[in-house]
Amino acid sequence: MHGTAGLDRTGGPGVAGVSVMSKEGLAGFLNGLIARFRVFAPVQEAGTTRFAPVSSAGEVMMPTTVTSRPLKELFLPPSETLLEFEVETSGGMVGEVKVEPAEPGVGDMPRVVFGARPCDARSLLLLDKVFDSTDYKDGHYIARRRGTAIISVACSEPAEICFCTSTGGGPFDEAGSDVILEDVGDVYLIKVITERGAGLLAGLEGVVPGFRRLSEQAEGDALPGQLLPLLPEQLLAAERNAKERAEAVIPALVPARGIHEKLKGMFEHECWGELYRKCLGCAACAYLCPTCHCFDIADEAVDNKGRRVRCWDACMFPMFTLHASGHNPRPGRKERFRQRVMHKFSYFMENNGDIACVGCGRCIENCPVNMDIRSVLASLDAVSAASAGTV
Amino acid sequence: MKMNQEGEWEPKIVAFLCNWCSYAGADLAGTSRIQYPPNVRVIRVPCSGRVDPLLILKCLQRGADGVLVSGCHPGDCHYIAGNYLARRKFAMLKRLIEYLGVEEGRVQFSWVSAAEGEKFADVIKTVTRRVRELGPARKLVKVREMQGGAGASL
Amino acid sequence: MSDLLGVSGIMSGIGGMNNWKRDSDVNGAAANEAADRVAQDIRRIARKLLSDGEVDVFIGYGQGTLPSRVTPVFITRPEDADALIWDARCENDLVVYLPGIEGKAGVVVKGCDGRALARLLAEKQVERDRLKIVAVECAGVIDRKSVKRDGGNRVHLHPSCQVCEERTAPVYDFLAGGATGPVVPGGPGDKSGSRDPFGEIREFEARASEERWNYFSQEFDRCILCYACRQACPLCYCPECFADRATPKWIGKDRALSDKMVFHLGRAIHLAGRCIDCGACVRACPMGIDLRKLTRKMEKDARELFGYEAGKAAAAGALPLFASFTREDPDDFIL
Ligand code: SF4
Ligand code: SF4
Ligand code: SF4
Ligand code: SF4
Ligand code: FES
Repeated sequence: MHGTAGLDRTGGPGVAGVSVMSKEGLAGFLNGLIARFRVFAPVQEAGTTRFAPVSSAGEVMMPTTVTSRPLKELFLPPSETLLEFEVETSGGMVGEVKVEPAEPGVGDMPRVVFGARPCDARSLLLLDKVFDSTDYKDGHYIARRRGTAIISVACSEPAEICFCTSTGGGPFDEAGSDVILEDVGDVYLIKVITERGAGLLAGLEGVVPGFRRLSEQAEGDALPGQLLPLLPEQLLAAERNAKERAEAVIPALVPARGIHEKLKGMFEHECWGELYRKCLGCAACAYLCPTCHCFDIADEAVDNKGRRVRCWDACMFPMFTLHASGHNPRPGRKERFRQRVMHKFSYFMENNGDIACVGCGRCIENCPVNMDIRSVLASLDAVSAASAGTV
Repeated sequence: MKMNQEGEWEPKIVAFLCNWCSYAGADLAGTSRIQYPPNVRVIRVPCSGRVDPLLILKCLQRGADGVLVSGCHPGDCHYIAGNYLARRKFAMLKRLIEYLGVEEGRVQFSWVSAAEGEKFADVIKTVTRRVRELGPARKLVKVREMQGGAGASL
Repeated sequence: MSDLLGVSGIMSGIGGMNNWKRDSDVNGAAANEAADRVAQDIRRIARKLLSDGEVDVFIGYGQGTLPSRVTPVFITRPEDADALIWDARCENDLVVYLPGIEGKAGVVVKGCDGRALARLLAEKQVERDRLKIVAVECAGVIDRKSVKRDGGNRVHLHPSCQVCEERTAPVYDFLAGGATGPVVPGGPGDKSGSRDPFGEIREFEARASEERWNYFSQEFDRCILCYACRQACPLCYCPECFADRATPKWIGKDRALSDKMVFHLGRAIHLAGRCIDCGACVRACPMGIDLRKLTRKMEKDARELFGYEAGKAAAAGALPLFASFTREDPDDFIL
């Protein structure tokens, strides 16, 4: 298990499991990781960003916001082969079908992700509920998940699209991360969250200049490049400050978590007819959402050989629900838009005990018509309050 | 990739031939015993106007080294204007795929009438020579990507 | 229900909704003034159309939830017309909402949107007598993505606007705010030939074939097939796109580069002589793919080969490029 339940705190509050690193130490830290693991970190790609394998610290783009593409694609790639098949033919007759299950790319493990944002890290816990549940265990997903450690970077400066505090997370949220790196002003604090995280850092202390355990900082020695000595208490206070400052930028005002109760009776509400209207029916929101996970399974074959692939799909597309008969149970954009909202904020809660949104804001940033999920939720909340008043 | 008996690459060319003219032209070339390269796979279509640009792209995707579309001469289309309409589409398509970076000459067009057995053979010779010069198709080819093995890269 | 589109309380708590105006622009002040006049007139016209029952819905722009964004609004009651705005952020091509719309509709159109509408009328996708077209003499819209890339320091016009030759719709019922000022040389609406509208394409054509191939390979490799480009395009109205067809399956489900390219080539061909360069596709693309590299090429070729200019005033109602021909069409590429 690698959910919150598996969180294995080595420290608890205080200095245990916490290290301090000078800002200059970052490149050495990254290179130290890269020397020992296959590291995925945010890289720039023609004005967009994504997690990709890096071979030196110089390639890493220290994130200021979430990456354009979500972390989920390292676990649920846009397309992956599930199995390969070959139909034997002899003398024009169709013979046996040979089926070869595909490896989920386990040979590439273990991997370390550096630079995930807390919202992305948290999204993995939600995906776990789907692909690693008691009902269903997805071999490919689980292999990738087991083989990947997550080092997050806390968000000292949340962006205008962020609302993680309304979805159960926060800019310094540790859920889903093995290690979290926090910018507390002049230095980074690096906190070990899980045992796996401790293992990641084990080989780096004493190797990376300017990186040491907070417990060894008791005398307040200055780090290289650092003029002032830093006492552990001061550093922990600086951390609290940074966290409070960041949280203050995004007060938890979006009615995201509590709304499932209200949504229960709103399936047929007339407000959907107004809310959906500007939606174009693309999948920019769903594909870039770190928690959206709908997929399609199809065969790609040439002659007698082929493979079965699983690829991203989205409830915003008419094809997603089109029956072979021609009937479509979600015939219009209204029904499809409602599905996305209801799935995230009502059905997912009913089925998995949480909402399927981490407040990363990617859908807000990327919607061509500025469909802002925050205002959609606010509207739904207001509408339900209004109808509650009139009943 | 198609190899001949000597183990050398042989171009594979898909030819969409209009039923009313070029297809009959090919027939005539055959019955007149005019020699032309055996590299074309003929697909008979009712009119050059039927050839959707997507069909041409699909051929390239599926590994054709060259594609030829051949219809009736201007004014001779069985459906009056099918070839005129096709001409516009093909002019735009040809420029577009070459602009993309697909080699000039992979996709070609011709007018061959039912009486032009000789011309049909010449067209096939020209197209085959050109495609042979270009070598095996690589761009837009998906089949090879598929044969190249499975698995997501991540 | 009245707050559905605004949701002011919560949103202003989250992040400002301040105006984004063209202060840093040379023509900033004049442009802002003209924009305010246009906005007032749009509101007046919408209110009137709705009260008189001339339209059931009025589609315009409203304040968005981020400083850089506006959002399409669908106004059905005269008193809500105050939510309508107009400024240089009004980037969406609202014509995209018209095919299949029920009842009578009013719509705000810039020059490019108006050209798209002219094409839809010619292709019989909308009925003229169910529409009230409110045109704006456009001064260009801001390219928010490049402004953002630049750290918000400079105003950039959208690339489409930088080469726009007709800034007012070819057909309309109202010109909101009247004339908004002379055409700036080299700016939106300049068709004097003082700049080459296809200069960028010509430059790209001049590169080596391999270089162009590498460029497109890299760009389309990033495509996630979210179809935002298609969905935002006013001229992609097919009930079933070829990309979605299962029989025949044109686009593989395994998202090979080849599949992505066939999607974009197929789409470009379907838009040949139809694309009016509103730029909606480029703005919609979350992966920053410059789709105009293909669509502008089609526009250029349609003009060079057939003298065809989609949606332009002189030929607004022309038959589609691929539904017409002349005996003299270029033939030199045919063996
Ligand atoms: S719904 Fe939007 S804000 Fe929520 S997790 Fe998905 S992309 Fe992020
Ligand atoms: S392309 Fe022309 S009409 Fe369209 S927004 Fe730009 S300047 Fe305005
Ligand atoms: S292809 Fe792009 S620029 Fe052309 S009409 Fe469609 S959205 Fe506008
Ligand atoms: S919007 Fe961009 S990423 Fe999405 S399908 Fe179009 S080109 Fe691809
Ligand atoms: S019938 Fe031959 S091209 Fe139309």
